[in-house]
Amino acid sequence: MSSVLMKNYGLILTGREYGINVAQEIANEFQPPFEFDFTEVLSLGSSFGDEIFKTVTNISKDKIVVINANKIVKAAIVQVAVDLKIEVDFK
Amino acid sequence: MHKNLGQFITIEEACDLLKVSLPTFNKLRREHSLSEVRGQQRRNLFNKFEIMDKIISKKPCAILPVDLVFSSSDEEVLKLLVDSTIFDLRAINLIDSYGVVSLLSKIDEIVNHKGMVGLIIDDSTSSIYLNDAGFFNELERSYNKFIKWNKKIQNHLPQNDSEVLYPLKAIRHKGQDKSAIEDLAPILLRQGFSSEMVGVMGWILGEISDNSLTHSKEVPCYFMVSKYPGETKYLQVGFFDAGIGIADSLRKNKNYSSLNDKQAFLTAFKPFISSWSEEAKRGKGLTDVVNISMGNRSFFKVDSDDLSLYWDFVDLKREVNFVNPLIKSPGVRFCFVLIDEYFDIKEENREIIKELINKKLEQENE
Repeated sequence: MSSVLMKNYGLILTGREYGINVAQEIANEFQPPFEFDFTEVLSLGSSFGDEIFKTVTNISKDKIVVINANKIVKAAIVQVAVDLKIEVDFK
Repeated sequence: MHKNLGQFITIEEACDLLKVSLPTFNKLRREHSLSEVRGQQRRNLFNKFEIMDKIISKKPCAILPVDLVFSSSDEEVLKLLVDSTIFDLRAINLIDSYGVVSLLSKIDEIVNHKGMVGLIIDDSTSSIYLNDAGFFNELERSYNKFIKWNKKIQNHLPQNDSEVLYPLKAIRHKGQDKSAIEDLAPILLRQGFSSEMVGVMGWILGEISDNSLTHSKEVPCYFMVSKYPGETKYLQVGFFDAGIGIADSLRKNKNYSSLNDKQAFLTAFKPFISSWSEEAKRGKGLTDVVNISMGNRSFFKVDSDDLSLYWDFVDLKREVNFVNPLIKSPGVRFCFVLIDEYFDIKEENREIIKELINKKLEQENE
């Protein structure tokens, strides 16, 4: 499982276009299945999250694992997961 | 942009501006050594902004009942206008982030239509607040030679222990919003706000800035953050863009092109409703900000052109109502109040938001 340390892309993760760019980087650098580590990430916009999870879902149908997400980041991810009809395992 | 400077006025216009008779004006022009230029038909013309500096700004200011809060209306705020292009900022009794962005919005409109704006300032608390809010600096950057105020007075304004936590910031391109929020985050944490508060602030600002820069490509958006005096758990965010407005933006989608202003403005907050085609699966940003406010048990106001919506979730209320915008002018203005206490943001609340909007739409159609 590839662990993607999200703080490497910033502690405030917002913006659809930035999400598209980060998603592309993740797709190029990591192999599925994916574990997203949100340690220290303060904020996640749903547009950003939408692009990340849409891209990784297109690569692999494996369940996505999310770790160390704070309450606000988790709330955004839950919305994105429902919209994309994907399963996310929060640890 | 129309740049008719309109700086020089006739003697009759000067009398009208000062609301004095011709003999009184002649007395004033001698007393204040007003300069004159020869205009068409050999008429003497006077510099409006010299009159503003030398005469109007010296007059004692009558304190108008202008409170830049929710109860204020466009009419009250327009009392700040001495004439169609000069604002007497000394008449402001109370101002906050929402007042700052609303004032900026009106100035933007006047600069775009009439070319030149003058501001009368003094050393009152409102001028000090505006200075702390970075208002004058941002005006200088954005409008430069099309706006004028007495810089000597501004330079001598004291630094206040202000409620402004993050002064007015222009976001001119995508990505700049992220940098601005990254600058804001440590400021809020140092002030004692929780990481959850920073998280929702980032989410809100990220979504509305992204929306604004996507739908109003030619214009920047602005935001500032302030706190309330004596309180530490409340934050206020003022946001403005001079774009096409929420209703017109939604009506670009042919599915919503027949909606009237109120219907389109309200509908835009429903989940998955957007100016984009359905396949793009966009239209979550505005619902997100309502959802965050609901989970925060707080409230926000959003103005789009001449309309304003007040979303109230305080004490578990779930209400949305049309109210007066603080200022009627083109573009979108937000005023968020956030409480550093509740952060129950739930996905299922989006359905409640949809029902709330449907109910309001039905009421409006009755």
